[in-house]
Amino acid sequence: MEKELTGTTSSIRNTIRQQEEEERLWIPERFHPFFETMAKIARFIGRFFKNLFNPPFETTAFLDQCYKIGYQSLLLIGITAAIAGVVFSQQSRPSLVAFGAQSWLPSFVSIAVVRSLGPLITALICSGKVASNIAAELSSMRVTEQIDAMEVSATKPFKYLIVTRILAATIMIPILTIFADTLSLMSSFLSVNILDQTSFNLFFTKVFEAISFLDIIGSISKSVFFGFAIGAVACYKGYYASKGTVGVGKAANGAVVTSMFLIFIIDLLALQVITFFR
Amino acid sequence: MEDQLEMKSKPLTSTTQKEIVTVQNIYKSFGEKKVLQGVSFHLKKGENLVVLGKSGTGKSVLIKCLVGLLYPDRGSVNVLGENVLELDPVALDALRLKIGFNFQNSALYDSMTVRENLEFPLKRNFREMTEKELDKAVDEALESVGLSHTKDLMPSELSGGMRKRIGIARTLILKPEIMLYDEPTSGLDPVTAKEINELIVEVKEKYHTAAIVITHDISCARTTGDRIMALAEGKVLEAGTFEEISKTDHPALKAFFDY
Ligand SMILES: Nc1ncnc2c1ncn2[C@@H]1O[C@H](COP(=O)(O)OP(=O)(O)OP(=O)(O)O)[C@@H](O)[C@H]1O
Ligand SMILES: [Mg+2]
Repeated sequence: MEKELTGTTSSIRNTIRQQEEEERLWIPERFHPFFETMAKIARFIGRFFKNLFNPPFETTAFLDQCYKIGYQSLLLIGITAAIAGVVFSQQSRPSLVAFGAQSWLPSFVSIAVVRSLGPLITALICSGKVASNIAAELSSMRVTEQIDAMEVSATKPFKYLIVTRILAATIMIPILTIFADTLSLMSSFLSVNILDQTSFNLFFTKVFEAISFLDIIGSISKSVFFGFAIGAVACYKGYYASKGTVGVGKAANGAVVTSMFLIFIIDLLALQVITFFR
Repeated sequence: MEDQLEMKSKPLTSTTQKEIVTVQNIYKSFGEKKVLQGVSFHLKKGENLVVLGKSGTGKSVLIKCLVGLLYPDRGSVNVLGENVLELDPVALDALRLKIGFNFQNSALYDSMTVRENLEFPLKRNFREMTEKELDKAVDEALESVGLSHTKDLMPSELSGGMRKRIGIARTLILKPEIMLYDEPTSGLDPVTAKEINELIVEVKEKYHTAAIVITHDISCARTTGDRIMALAEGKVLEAGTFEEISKTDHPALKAFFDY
């Protein structure tokens, strides 16, 4: 009975293997690893969505991640965004003054910050801070077999570790973007005010005149994708880290490089979509 | 080879005992590297089986195949009446709850306190448990391993021996039927190792578990094992009681008893 079962199992396996090999024949050998990785990523993302909507939910762990990803990045994002606002307005001011158009500065800054600078700065800072953190944490859990330990105690580590982190990143990064936008514009106002004595009201009326509803929606939806990319890349790299301490370094590094690269790709794609709607 | 094994182990175990783990002829390779090459064995109810073998012979790989952490390339694995290789995720989780897997490096969750470590599997598998019941279960499990006072410590504050014990407590809390110990005494001083060995025997008596104990430590094998299986180069060399194994003239196995 046992022997028979084994027999059927392995024969089924062999047929599957044969089928797989036949299907693969038309793809050159050296591209196989690439497609295998792609399939693995697709399965990973599929698994995320499947687990996302299936109860039970890891609410506490999710809120914990929101705190870590969102709240603990506030200071860093705030400072960098404020500096970027000051630098950008002071660098563009001379050119505007040369054309006698310094009254355009608020609109100019507003468009730059909302459409591009805010989301980009937030996403890049987060891929440095959040993605490396997530990847290092998960990969060291993988290396020390903590994920396996969760797996064998039937605690569904994918839900607890991955879903919470990707979801938290997807939600927190747009919020951080709004925060960064606000701080950039504030700091820009302060730096302009020192030289030009504009009123707060005038400055921000011009800021909001310059941007449309589409700009704000576009900027936020773009950040949602940035957040998802950061979370997913970091989790993927950490979850599938190779064994040994080298694996931790590689995962953290890979997460930062890949998510930064993806951020620019998404930015480019988002621009095409938004332009289409404009 | 397989038949030989059957012959050897038959007289040792009475036929009234049920086989709760049956592994038949499993093979496992990682790329070019062949690790397991046709391993067969069984574990009976209430029995402690020691797997003895040199570093790198695939002992950890072998028990990972029992819980679906790794899948063998060929062969069959039957645990508690279930064919592990064909289970869907839900059924696999149900089976895993009955198995307590103790990792070689303890694998404590280092971002959680000892108490949270123990509560973690409980909270997720028995959602209806109240705070009080959780507390009681944690206290009981910690008491069985003699570490009640560590409840609020972080894993990084524990010694190696304490970590092993907490790891054991974390699996005991789910009241498993089978315990798997991956090198429970490696990296410990002889005194602590002896305490862990005694704990393994205690657990067997108190919780009525069967266990597979992986080790390369002869004194651990002697104290904890009812039956011993020696593994070398991905194959079973010998199986039998400690006395039988210690009389071996297999050079690879002899080395264990000689030092
Ligand atoms: N996930 C894996 N990927 C690739 N190779 C692996 C993997 N797991 C184990 N191996 C290889 O399998 C072999 C056996 O490993 P295993 O951990 O089972 O040894 P072991 O008998 O437990 O030794 P030790 O006493 O050192 O723990 C090793 O050579 C290891 O390199
Ligand atoms: Mg091992």
